[in-house]
Amino acid sequence: FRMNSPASHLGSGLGGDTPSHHHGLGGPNSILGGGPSSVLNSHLSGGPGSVMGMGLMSNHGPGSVLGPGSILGPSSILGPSSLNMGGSQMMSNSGSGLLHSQQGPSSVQQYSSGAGGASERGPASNLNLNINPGSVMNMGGGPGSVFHDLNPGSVGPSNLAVPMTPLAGDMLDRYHGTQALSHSAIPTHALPSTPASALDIPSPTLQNIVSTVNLGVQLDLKKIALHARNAEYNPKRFAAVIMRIREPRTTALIFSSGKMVCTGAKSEEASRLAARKYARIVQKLGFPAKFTEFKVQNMVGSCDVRFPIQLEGLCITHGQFSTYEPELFPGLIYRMVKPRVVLLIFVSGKVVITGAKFKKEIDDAFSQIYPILKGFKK
Amino acid sequence: RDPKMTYQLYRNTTVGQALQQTLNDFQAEDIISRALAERVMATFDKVINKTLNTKAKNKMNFKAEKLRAYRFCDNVWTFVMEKVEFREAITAPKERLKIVACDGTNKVIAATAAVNP
Repeated sequence: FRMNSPASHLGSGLGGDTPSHHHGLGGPNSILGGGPSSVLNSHLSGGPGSVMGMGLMSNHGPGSVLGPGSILGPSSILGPSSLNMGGSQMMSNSGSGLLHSQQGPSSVQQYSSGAGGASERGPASNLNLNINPGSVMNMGGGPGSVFHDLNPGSVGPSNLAVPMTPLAGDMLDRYHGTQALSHSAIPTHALPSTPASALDIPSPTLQNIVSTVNLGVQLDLKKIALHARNAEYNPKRFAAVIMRIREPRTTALIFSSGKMVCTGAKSEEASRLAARKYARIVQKLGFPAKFTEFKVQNMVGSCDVRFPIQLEGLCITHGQFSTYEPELFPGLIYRMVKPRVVLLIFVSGKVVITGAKFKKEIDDAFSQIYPILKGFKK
Repeated sequence: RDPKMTYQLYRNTTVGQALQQTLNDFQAEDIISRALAERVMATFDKVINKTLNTKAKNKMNFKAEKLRAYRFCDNVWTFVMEKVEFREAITAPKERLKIVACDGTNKVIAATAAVNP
């Protein structure tokens, strides 16, 4: 029994109110409560990420039905589906209805309700949570457009080459819990199973790491400046020796108390290694330096979403998180709550993420902001 | 009274060394006293600093492949460069070049001007 058309599914028990819980997490079609929501089905081309979206469609609201066109339950919608959500429709269903298309196998299950109401789109905005840009499902239609006929052929521009096949039985198991879905699990005929790396979602690169370490001994800065290479010491201006090494290319501020700040490394390991090299230099100069309390204090990453962004719209929708003063600074300052990082978002589509203590925070932040930014694509 | 303090940096130049030698010879022959020799050197310091600041107008450009090391301590910059080529190509490219630069704004005696790494 292949449910290859949403229509059949609609009949099969997704009658209006109750999402088909019994389907578990299977079947792209099944979870979509309500007919219109089957739009989601057609966009299972997002690979692993998208499938999971289906899986998360456990509507546990008080009978919260994914009303027409609102496929987004409380959980995230992974899906290269352009959901034209009449805002009201969306919000009525889910208290925390957030469109977080978590792309990438690993981040599939992360839908955080913290990052602002991504789904609060104005009627005009076309929420395109398409993870796979190649298959932008611009389903057209107005808000709440329902594709009763999910025949790929009939869907016009998008390459809905994805038949509405429910996932194989074993897939259901996979969707239980929060396992990342390996792309191999998706039957290729159902989805163009592309690994996250092949999906066009960029991933942030680390640009700078600032760390501190305590060498544990008082230092004579003048002696260090006189005997070490590549050192600057101008006590009238700044009470520390500024030393640099070439590999890894970093700069260190060494204070007389023995504490040191190491900046400029491109990874946590490089920062630690550089700090050790500085400690070694100090040691060679005759001080009994130790290497204690190494801690990464700040990490900066950057990324390019490769499409222009409407900062004004983003600022209005996410007013509680955003600061946008174009006369002061051309970028929008987005203070994400979880993880607690700050993102600088620019019109060009470049994003800078800072304030993180771990790389994971940068990756999480970017995966949360990406769908939001897609919604504000110019 | 103390003469105005100036860098004794230029004593280690060709002309400075020549002057120092001559004064030493005179002192050896008891023609002049030690104090006078010292006075002459001090005058030399003052004049050469002033002249280089005001009268010397020509510039020299150079480009080096690598900055081996730098240092800034006691208001003195020291640079060690490799493979230095001078713009006017007066000399062949130098394998290693050391520059010791003292602050030209404040007149500070720089007995420690020459930093020996």
